[in-house]
Amino acid sequence: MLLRNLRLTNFRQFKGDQPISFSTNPDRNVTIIMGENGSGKTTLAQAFTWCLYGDTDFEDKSMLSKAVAQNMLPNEEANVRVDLDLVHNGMEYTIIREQRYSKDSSGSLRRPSQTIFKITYKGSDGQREFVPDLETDLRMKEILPRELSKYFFFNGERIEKMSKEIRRGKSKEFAEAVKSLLGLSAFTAALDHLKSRSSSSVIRSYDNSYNAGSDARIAQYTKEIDDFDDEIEAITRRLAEIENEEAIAQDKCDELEEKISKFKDSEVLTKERERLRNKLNGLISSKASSTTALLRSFNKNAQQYFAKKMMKDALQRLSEADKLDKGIPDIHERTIKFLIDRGFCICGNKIVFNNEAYKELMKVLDYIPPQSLGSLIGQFVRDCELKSKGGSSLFEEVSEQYRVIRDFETDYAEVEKNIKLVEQRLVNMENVGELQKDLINYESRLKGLKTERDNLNKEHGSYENKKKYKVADRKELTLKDETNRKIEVYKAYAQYMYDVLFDDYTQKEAETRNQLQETVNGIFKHIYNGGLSLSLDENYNVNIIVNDFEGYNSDVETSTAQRISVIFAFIAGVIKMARDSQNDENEMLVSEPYPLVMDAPLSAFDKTRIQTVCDTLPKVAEQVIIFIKDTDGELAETYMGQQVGARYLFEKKNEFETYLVTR
Amino acid sequence: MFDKEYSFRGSHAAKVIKMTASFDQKNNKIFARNFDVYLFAPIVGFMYGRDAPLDRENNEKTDIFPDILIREKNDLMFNYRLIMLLDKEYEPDFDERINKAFRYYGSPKAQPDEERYDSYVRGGVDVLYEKIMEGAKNSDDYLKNLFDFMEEFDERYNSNVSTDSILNLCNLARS
Amino acid sequence: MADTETKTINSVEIDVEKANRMLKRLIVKETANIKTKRYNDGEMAKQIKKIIEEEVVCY
Repeated sequence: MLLRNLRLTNFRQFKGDQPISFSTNPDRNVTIIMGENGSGKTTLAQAFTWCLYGDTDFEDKSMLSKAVAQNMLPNEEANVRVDLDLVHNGMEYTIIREQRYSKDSSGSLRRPSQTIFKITYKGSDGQREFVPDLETDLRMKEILPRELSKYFFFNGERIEKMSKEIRRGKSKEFAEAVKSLLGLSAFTAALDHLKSRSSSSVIRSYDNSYNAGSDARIAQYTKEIDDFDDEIEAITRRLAEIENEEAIAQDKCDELEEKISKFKDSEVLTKERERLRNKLNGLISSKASSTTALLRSFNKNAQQYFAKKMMKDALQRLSEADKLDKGIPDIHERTIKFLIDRGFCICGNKIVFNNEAYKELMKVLDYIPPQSLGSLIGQFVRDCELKSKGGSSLFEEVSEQYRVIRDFETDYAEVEKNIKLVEQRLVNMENVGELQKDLINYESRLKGLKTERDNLNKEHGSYENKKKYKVADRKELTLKDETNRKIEVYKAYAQYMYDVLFDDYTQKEAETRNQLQETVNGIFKHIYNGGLSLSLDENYNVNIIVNDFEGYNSDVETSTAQRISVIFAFIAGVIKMARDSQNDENEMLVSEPYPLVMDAPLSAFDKTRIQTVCDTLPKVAEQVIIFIKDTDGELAETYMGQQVGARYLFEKKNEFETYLVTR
Repeated sequence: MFDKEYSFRGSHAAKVIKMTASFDQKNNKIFARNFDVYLFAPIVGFMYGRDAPLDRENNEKTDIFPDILIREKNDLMFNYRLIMLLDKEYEPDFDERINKAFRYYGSPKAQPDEERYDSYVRGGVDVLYEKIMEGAKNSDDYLKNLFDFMEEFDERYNSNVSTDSILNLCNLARS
Repeated sequence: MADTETKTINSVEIDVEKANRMLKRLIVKETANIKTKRYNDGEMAKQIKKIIEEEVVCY
C-alpha cells in the first residue's frame, strides 16, 4: 500500500478543501510536513485513522471545522470529508469518509450523522468503480487491518501504550495480522477452510454428512464428538484468557518490583544525599574557618614577616659596626643611685626628688650602663630574635589556609552536582509498603491463574482422549457403509492436506519469525548502538535483552527513547520483511509494501540517534511521511535531505484555521 | 610619639576605614583594628619605597587611642628603629642612623625622623590599599589579593631570608 | 500403480501424488481469493470439497 493524495474538507482546523500529495518516488520516498505544536500535526495524522476506520483519539469527537461551524446559519448543513488515494496490490483505490453536520432552527449543531464510508477503485477498463457497500469493511481489512494500522500510522504520543502492547503477548490478533503481512494468509485461509470449528469447513461438513441410516449410533457419536469439541473449545478460549490475564499480572508484578527496588535505592540515596549535604556544610564551614584563621595569622604576624628582610639587613650592619657608646666614662647606674641617696651631687647641688638636679641625673641614666646604647642595641637584637621566630611560618600557614579557600568553589560545585544527581533519582519514588501489598496481591493472582491453567490442561487432555475414542468408534461403523466409506476417504485426503500444510506453515512461520527477529534486531542495533537486543516469541512478543551492561549508559537517554527504538525497529523490521518478500521467488507468499506515517517521534531521541533513525527509516519503508516540529524538522532534513520528495508546512492562521502550504 | 593618640587622616583615613571594615557576613576584616594597620604599614611603606604626605583634603579621620599605643610601644619602637637603621636615603651616615634609631627618639631632634616615619606609615597604607582592596568585588577577591600580595612579597624578599640566617646574625651582633 | 507412493491417514490409504496435486490447486485458489475476495469461507470450503471428491475418483 502506498499513499498518494489526501484531501481534507472542513476537517477540524483544516477549513475548506485542502489537498496534499505524498511523494511516491522510490528514490525520494520521504514527505516532510513541518509545523509547531498545536498547528495540526496530530490532526493530520488522525485524519488518516478517521478516513480509514472512522475513529480518532480526539476527546472532542466533532470533526467539523470550528471556523465553518461558527459561520453556519440555522438549518444549514456542512460536510466533513477526507479522501485518501492509495495503491494497494496494483489497484488504485480512493477511500472516502464523509460526515454531515447540520444546525437546527435555533442555530445549534445537531448530532452529526453516521459517517459514510466508500471505497472506489479503478477497474481494468480504467473506469472508476465502487466497492459494494457491504464489502467495504472487508476490503479495508484486506488493504490494512485496523489492528495493524497504528504501527504504520505512528502516533508519537501513544508510544508508551504501544510498546507495552508489543511487549506483552496481548494481541494474537496482532500476530495474525503480522502473519498476513508476511504473506502467509493463503496458508492460514486454506487451513481454516479445511479444518475449523465452523460447520462449513471441509472436515466438519464431512463429519456431518455421514449416512446415519446405516447405523443410528453414527449420529449419536457425531453428536458426542461435537460436544467434546465444544468443551475443548471453551477450555482453549479460557486458556487464552488466562494467558492474557497472566501477562497483565506479570507486567504489574514487574512494574511493582522495579518500583520497590528503586525504593530500596531511595534509602541508600537519601543517606547519600544526607552525607553530601553534610559535606557541603563542612566545606562551607571549613572555608569560613580558614578565612578567619588566615586573617588571624596575617594580623598577628604580618609585621614580623614583612620585616624579616629589614631585620637581616639591620643586623648585618650592626654586627659589622662595633658601635657601643659607653656614655660618661666609668660612671655606672650605681654611682647615680648613690648620689641620689646621698642627697647632694659631686658639684654640691642638692638633689631632691623631682628637682632640676634629680631630673638631670635621671637623664644621665639613659647614657650609662646598663641602659647605654649597647644595651639598647642588645635589646633590639633580642627583639629581632623573637620576631623572626614569630613570623617564620606565616606564609606557609597562609598558603595552606588559602588553598582550602581557593579549592572551595570547585569542591562545592562538585558536591552540589552530586546532590542534584541524587535528587533527580529520588524523584517519583513512592511508599514501599503499599507497593509491597499490591505486589503480594498480584503474585497470588498469578499463582491462582497457574493452578487454573494446570487443571484446564488436564481436562483438555481428557476430552481430547474421549473424543479420539469416539472418532475411532464412529469410523468402525462408517466403514461398513459404502457412502460413508467414501466420506472417510475424502476426509483422509483433507486431513492429509491439512497436516502437510500445517507442517509447512509451522515451519515457514518459524522461519519467518526467526527472520523477522534477525531483521528487527539488525535495525534495533543500528538505531540503538549495541548493548541491547530483542527477541521475539511465538506471539511476536518483543523482549529486550541487555547484552552488555558496560556499553549501556542509562543516563544518556530516557527509556522512552528505548521504547521508541523498540517500536521503530519492530515496525521497520515488519515493513522491510514485507518488502523483501515481494521479491521472493515463492509465489505462495503474498505481500505488500507499506508506508510509515509518523507523528513527531524524534524529540525523545538525542541528536546522534536522530541521525541513525533518519538514516534507517527511508531505507526500510517504501514510503515515509513525517509530521514534525520545526526544530526536529531541520535535523530530519539535514539527515534525510537526499530522500525528501515533498515538503509541506502548516501555516497556522489562528486557533481554528491551519493551511497546508508547499515549501 | 607612640604615647599619644594617633589619627589617620584624609584619603588614608578612608583607606584604613575600608581595610578594617567587614567584607562578609562572618564579620571578617583584612585588618582587625586600626592599630594593626598602623603596626604593619610602615614596614610595607619602607619596603616598597613609598612615602606619602599628610592628606588634609577632607576632614576624614580615624583614631588609635593612646592606651593601645602605649601597651604595644615596644613593637612600634621596633619598627621605628628598623627604619631608622636602614633608611640610607634619609641619612647616609650609619653612625647617625644609629643615633636616630636609639638616641634621638623622644627628643626635639627626632622631630623630622618621626615625620619621616609617619610618611612611611601613609605610603604603606597606600600600598596595602592598592594591593588588597583595589579591584576586589567580593570576599573571595579580597582573600585572593591578600594572598597574591603575600606571595609576591615572599618571592621578592623572603625566599632569600631564612629565619636561621637572622638568628645567626643575632648571635654575631651580640659578640 | 506399483510405484505410486501411498500413505495411511486414519486407516485410509491415500495417494500422495494425488493429494499433493490437490494441495497445489488449493493454494493457488486461496491465493487468488485473497486478492479478489470473491468467495466467502463457506463457498471456499465447498469448492475444496469438490476438488477432493473429483480427484479421488480420477485416475
